[in-house]
Amino acid sequence: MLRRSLHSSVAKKNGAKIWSDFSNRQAALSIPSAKVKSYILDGTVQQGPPSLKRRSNRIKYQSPEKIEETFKICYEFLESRSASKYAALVKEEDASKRLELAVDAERYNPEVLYNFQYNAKVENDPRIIDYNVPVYRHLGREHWKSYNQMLLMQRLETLAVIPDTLPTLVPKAEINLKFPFSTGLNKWVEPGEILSSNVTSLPPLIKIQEYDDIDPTSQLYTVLIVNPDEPDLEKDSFKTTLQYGLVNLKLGFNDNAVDARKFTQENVIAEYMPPVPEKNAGTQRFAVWVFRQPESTELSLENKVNRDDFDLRQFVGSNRLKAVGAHLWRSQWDSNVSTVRAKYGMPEGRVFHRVRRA
Amino acid sequence: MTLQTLACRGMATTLKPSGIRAGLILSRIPIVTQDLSKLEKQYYEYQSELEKRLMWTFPQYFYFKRGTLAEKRFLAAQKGPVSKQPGVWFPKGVPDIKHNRERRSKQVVNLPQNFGSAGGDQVSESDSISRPIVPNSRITEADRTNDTQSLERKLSATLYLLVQSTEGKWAFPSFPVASEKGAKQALHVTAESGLRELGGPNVNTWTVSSTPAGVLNGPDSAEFLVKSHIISGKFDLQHKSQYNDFAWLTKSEIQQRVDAAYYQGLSWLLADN
Amino acid sequence: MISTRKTTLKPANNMVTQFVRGKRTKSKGGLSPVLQRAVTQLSVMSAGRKQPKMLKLSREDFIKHQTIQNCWAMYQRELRDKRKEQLRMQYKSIEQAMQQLQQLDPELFDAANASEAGKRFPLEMKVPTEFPPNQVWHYNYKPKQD
Repeated sequence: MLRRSLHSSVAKKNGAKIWSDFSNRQAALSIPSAKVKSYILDGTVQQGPPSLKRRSNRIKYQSPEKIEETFKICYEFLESRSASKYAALVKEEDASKRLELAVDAERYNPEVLYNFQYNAKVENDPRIIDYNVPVYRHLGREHWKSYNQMLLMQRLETLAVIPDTLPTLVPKAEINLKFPFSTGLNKWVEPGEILSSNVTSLPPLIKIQEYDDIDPTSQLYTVLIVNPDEPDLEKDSFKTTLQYGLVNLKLGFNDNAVDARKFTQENVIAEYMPPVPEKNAGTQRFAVWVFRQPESTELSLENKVNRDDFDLRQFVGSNRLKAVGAHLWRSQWDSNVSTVRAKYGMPEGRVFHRVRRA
Repeated sequence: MTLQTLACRGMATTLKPSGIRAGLILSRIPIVTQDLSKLEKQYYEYQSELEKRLMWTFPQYFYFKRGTLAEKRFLAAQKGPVSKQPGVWFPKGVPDIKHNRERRSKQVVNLPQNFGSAGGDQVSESDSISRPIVPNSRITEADRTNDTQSLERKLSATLYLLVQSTEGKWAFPSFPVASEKGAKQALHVTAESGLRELGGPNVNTWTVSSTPAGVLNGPDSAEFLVKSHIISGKFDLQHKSQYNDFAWLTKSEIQQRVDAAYYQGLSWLLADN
Repeated sequence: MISTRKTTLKPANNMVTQFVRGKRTKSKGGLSPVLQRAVTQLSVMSAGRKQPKMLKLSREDFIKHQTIQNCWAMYQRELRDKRKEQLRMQYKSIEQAMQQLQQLDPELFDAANASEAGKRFPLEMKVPTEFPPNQVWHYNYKPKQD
């Protein structure tokens, strides 16, 4: 592998300036702005910190005393520890330990910390935050776990998506959802948000960020959006409908937004059907489930799925899918529903009443 | 008695060395605190600067009564901040002063120095209460002359007593445990009395425990090491028949003097500082 | 509480002169010395005027600060691990010594294993200080005659 050859050559001059010699390091491990980099590492203080935009603020700014000298010593200390990690990395054979060492060697690098803390993490620029580099995946996972993962699990549990759709979820990948079109919302949807039917009238953009050390060249993904709240009058209950189904998606660590450019008609098992809740049917949940497919096996599109009465558990079981992430939003009847129905050529919706009529 | 201990006893007869010896690791604990490393020193300085920056304003009005001489002396010693002036441009920001302190930076509190010397009273310099405090040096005379037999060397490190045998080998003092029925004593008692015999009676020690801290297996004897601290008194080598020389050494010095194998067997019993 | 304070304040304000030797009688704020003292006391306790401005770090300095703290944490972790390892080795060493002693001489083993309840720590032992005392070591120790 590329990374392996790279580290062995670094370790030859063990103990040298391991963080500043960029002949063999990924460019994403460096701060792109030369001014900021030299201010942090060399402490050129003549004009104040470059991150402050106004000149008067830069002149006014006072650094804490002795931070410069202390930083120099600490940087050397951490760099020497990093060098020993790289030296151990060359000898190590076990893949998981190699990954751990690669993360440990860079996780305290101030340049990496700066890049990660002050740049967009979801819509990342791969020249700054490159999720192919193990340390950024580690930082990304920590950042996700610190809030968004907990929020997602709370919403899934309190809104009973778990266990109404699938028994449980061990979250591995971060899922972000957006409705990017002119009708949509220009923001990432918070799990559980109630969206207007106009917003959801066109298919969402789903961003699947993997943090685990998988092989992106062979791993395939399935994305299903299900609505478990469709009224089923015959059974006096509810049934699950499949709103959207994509299979055999191939994603990278950086290029992982699932939209129309990312797949062809061959990936679609169910075309997008927008949420059109009927009047007085209450708030309906739309759960987005993301699965890893078993080792590089493609799902066949031959046997058609029954999208009106979809059995998610059976589908997941028979295709040996592994749930790695989820998301959800909610919809309810509003005045836009009839427009959306007309656009998609759907029949007029029913109107439910408190007392069921014959 | 379990089967296992029986088996052990049985085995013991086969590997029984001819003699049991009681070794003594006699240490002098550090008298001054540990020397700070470069990193520690720098970090503490940085933290203390941060603390000063975040310190609340010194409430001078609480400590000095208004209009007193003491207050005047104190105020005279202070270097006041630059105050805000109308129509003046301050490139470093407009001063934000409360209670005579610039709130954006640390407050330097100067104590009035040697105001007592101007007074006419004839108090000798050494007796005066206001004489400056001069701490004793952490480096002693024994350090300068490199006197390894002195207990006053390397005040910041733990020193251990080593003795040189007549063959010229350095080791911790060890004493044979009497094997006769009546004369047999516990390991630490043997070690203590052996030390008194070797170094004279005027030595005050405190044995940490009667349990040995380690064992060194020789070809024909097993030496059980007992830990002890010297508290006061002086170790003087009494008769030079058994041992040539003695020294108080730190861990790194011990490593240089003794055999590599000997050091490997007990390095973890010694403190790094 | 408020009513009592009011009643005490009124006469204090009205009282223009209170004779204290060496004291300025016309105080600037028009407060009586008693009241002035109370104000001083309260201002000593109050935080608002004594607090410095909040420390705001620029992004670069914040990263530097984090690096310093990371370095310190790693340094402390290394020290801790080293200490732990040494203690583990010492424990192992004691265990091995005692096992061997049990095999070689059960009598000495029993003596070494005897209870030491009631054993006192010597009072003369000192905690290390920043600078040495005037008399570094007490050489003139004489054992008690009994």
